[in-house]
Amino acid sequence: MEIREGLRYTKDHEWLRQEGDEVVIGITDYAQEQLSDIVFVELPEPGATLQAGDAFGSVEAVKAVADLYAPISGEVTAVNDAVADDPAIVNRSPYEDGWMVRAQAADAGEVESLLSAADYRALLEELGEASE
Amino acid sequence: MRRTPLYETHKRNGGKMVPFAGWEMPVQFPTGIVQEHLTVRRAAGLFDVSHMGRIEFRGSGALDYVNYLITNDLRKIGPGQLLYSALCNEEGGIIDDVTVYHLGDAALLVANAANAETVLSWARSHKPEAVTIEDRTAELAQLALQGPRAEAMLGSPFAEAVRDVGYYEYTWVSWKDARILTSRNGYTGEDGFEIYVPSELAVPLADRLMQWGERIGVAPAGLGARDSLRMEVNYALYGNELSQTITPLEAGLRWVVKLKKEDFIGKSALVRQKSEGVPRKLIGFAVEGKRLPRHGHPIRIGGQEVGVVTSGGYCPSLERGMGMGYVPPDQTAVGTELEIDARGTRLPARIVERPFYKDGSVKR
Repeated sequence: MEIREGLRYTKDHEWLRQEGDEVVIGITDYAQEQLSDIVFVELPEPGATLQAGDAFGSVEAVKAVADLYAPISGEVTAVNDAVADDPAIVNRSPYEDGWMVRAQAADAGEVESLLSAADYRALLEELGEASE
Repeated sequence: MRRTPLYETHKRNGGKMVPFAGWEMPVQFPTGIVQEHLTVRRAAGLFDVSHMGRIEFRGSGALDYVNYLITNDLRKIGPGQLLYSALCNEEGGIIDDVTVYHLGDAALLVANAANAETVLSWARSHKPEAVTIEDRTAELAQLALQGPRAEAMLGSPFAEAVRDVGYYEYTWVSWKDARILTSRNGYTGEDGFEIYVPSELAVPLADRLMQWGERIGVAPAGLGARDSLRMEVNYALYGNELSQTITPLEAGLRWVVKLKKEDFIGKSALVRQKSEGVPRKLIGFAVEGKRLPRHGHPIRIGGQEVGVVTSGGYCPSLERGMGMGYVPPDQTAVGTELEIDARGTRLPARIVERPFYKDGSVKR
């Protein structure tokens, strides 16, 4: 299972990558592996408001459904239509092609308060799931 | 936790092992449930169903006794045939749904894993002296090979032996000095076989089937695909559509209830229910949108809660969310609009014809 260096994480297993003054948000490799077989992804429209900690979409897998929680507050600037069309992309490439939304962060400080890769690894170890 | 003879084989194939009815079983292999499902529809999949209960009835009157336990009629078939049936309590509630093999002067009853102990003790508590009941679950493994290429995958000597074996028929195949019961039936809507092999031969047989099968695109498949495959063709699952408080008449299993045969347990209750009418009926529905219905979600019609989803999820061959559930008997018409309450989100749905998936290779 992969935990990417340089990304920020949440305890709900989302990741966030800073790109210029925007952020990109997706779900972690651990999340996609737990869900397995993702068949539908429901995402907001561009322009939608993200509220840190609130659900902004959902991921339906064969076995279970999971809400997507916003790591930060802000405004959605783009959504990944490719994962809406072919949700299995999230299983194949959670950190690259399987990103969910781009957003403009309302408060840069919020990004800093998220988990680091090391923090997230420690969280997974607590769950007894970290490997490699 | 019990393990089947194929436990190590599953681990080696990357099976994700989960507890199921007291057994450690593979829910999926690395390619995932959707791929396994589609592989079974296109080629074939090999399932380990050794967790099911295999119960043999022997002795004088064994067949009559089994016939007294089940709702279908064992007298309508002979050696070389099997049938599907409900096994009911006195109130007509379903204790289990089973397949029964007519072995001439004996019968092999195959029960769901979760119900095997219940069925065993039920059968033992009602039995006449002369009938012997033997639990053969540990000594026999049970493989299910399902898909349009299943027959091609069997290889020699099985393929030759089953060529003239029809749907719900079986034959004995000689292999490695053993007689191996092989029947044409299944739980997927595809052509296929169930193979009852002595436990010590389970691994060599599975290995051989996979060696043959890999060349024609066959893969091991787990419980996850077994569930999505059976839901897509609307086969009932015990614990979902079937329970001790649901009768076969409510569950759409009227075709396995033979009310004209001699007495059987549950008969008077079922005769009464047939004349009075059922309080609910099983329906199939399709949902709109990108949320899936799940077991336990309430079903509403016109804002009123009228029933509950018994099975729900994604149908990989149809690429949409579908489900089954119980509604009042006067609201079962195809086209009826429903709402499924998915944890507060109302999913628009509509009653559709069954089976959902109609293109299976099963040879009826």
